[in-house]
Amino acid sequence: MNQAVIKTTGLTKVYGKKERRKCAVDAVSMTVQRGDIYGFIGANGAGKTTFLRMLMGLARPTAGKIELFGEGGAASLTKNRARIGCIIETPALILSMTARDCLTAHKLLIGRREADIDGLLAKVGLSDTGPKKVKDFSLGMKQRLAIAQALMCGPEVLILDEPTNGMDPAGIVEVRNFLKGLASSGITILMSSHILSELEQLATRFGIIADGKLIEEFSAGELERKRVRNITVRVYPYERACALIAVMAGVGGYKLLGEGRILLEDEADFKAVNKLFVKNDIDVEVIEKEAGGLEKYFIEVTNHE
Amino acid sequence: MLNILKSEFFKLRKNKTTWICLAVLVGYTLFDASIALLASRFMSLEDFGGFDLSSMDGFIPAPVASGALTLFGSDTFIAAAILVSIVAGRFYAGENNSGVLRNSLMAGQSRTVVYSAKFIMTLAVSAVAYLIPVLVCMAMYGISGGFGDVAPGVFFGYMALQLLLFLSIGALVFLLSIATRSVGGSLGITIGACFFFIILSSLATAGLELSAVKFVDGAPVFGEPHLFFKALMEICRLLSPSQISFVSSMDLSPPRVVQAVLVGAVTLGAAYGGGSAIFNLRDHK
Repeated sequence: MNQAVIKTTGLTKVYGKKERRKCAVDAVSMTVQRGDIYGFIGANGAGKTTFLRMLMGLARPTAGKIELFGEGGAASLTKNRARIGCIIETPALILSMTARDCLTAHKLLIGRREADIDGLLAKVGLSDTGPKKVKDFSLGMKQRLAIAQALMCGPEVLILDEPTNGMDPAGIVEVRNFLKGLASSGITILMSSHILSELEQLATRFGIIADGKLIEEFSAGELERKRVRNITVRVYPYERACALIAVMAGVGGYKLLGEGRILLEDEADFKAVNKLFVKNDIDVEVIEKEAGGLEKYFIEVTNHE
Repeated sequence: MLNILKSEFFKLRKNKTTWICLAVLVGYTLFDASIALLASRFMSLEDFGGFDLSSMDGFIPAPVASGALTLFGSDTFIAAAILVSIVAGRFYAGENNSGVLRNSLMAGQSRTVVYSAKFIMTLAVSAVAYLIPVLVCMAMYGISGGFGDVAPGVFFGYMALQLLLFLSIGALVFLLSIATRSVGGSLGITIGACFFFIILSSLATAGLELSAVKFVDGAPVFGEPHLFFKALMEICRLLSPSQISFVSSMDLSPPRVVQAVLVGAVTLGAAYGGGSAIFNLRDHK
């Protein structure tokens, strides 16, 4: 049965007063169900981090309501935040400490005696950092340590703001697989990322935020249906093909790319266009199919808005 | 609350700055106490006339000891306040700027509990910063000949009052770090405030004495000091940091004790309340 682990209703954050007033988050109503890997997408300054900071009690909402694990109210929210592991913006680490000391300080803070620091360090591949200080870690290592810290409370939900930021490709793949593993063990994940192709491979639901407004929420299945599909064909003779397509009825968008190439913006048109070309002795030499992913859809939606 | 305190203590213990501050404070106290001892001994011989040391017991003869304690007082505690500012500044401003504060705020504790734990840690650091000079001073005086005629009851009574006042200064320093969100900012203001109080007290003292002197036929006649300087001196007496030097004068009369306790307690309460309000209402990084 679905259970909303995170639910916001009309969540709003306004900074400044009068003419300096800026609405960072504008009446966002969002639901994250248990088991979701929720991809939170938005450009820089769209309001993602402010939204996550309000969820975690770092910023006070100007208006709206937050429910965590089905409970609202200040005391419940405070209590339930302990069930969430979180990385917001930069990793919250004590730079002058070693990885082990960092995790020990966090263990004392959350009062989780049974937390296995060695196990967590091994899980994120930082077992051999020894006396090296966190300040000397690469950004990727810091991110991994922050993930270990976030996992220490045995979270039911993980909130990750740009978790693969600064990581090398191998690190990104590692984190992706790691998060997939966490999700399959039942942890709900709400993550934002600029690397939309990355998010696309991981998330089961998406939310797009622009100028503080949640424009759209959709599932991975819905994204599949929303994909923009283009087909590029290389034809000969090009000029005759161009003339034919210009007078052909019922073709949606197309672009003449030159060098014998024509781009059909809707793959559904391909069959009819191909038939027309064959009938008129035009050779179709190459067919390239391009499925526009989340990135393309995001740009389309946010530009449209 | 206990979890946060444990974690804060662990972080404090693991931080190099804490140990550097501690070493600096011990070193400075040793230096300051030595100067105070020597000054008391030689000044009493030559300038304050008149102690016949040969007839007195111990390296620090009885009348000299109280003078040494008074001399030792204020500047060491200014150094201690500055070091408290450095260490306590990290509890809020340092952690807020590095984002580490988030860990405490998201650990399932209310903001008031997080704030209170950090406030308690500041008071603990302040107490240590106060006790180090006192203990070093006691050890030095003990080794070099005793405490003279200073009765233990008076000594500890005056130390307890100073401790309360010093805690209130620690609380003010913590409030500053919350208000400015900057370790450097709160440190700068603390140093500035220390100098301000020194200048204010000196002005008040000098003004009181100078305005009380009138020259009649070229000869000085002592009268009533000017009302402005009397008021200024009263303000100095009431300001929490100034209380320390007033308490240093070993005046433990009931009105002085009540005043010092009231000023200390009110400052502590106000700093706690003010800091708590800012901490609770503000967005954190």
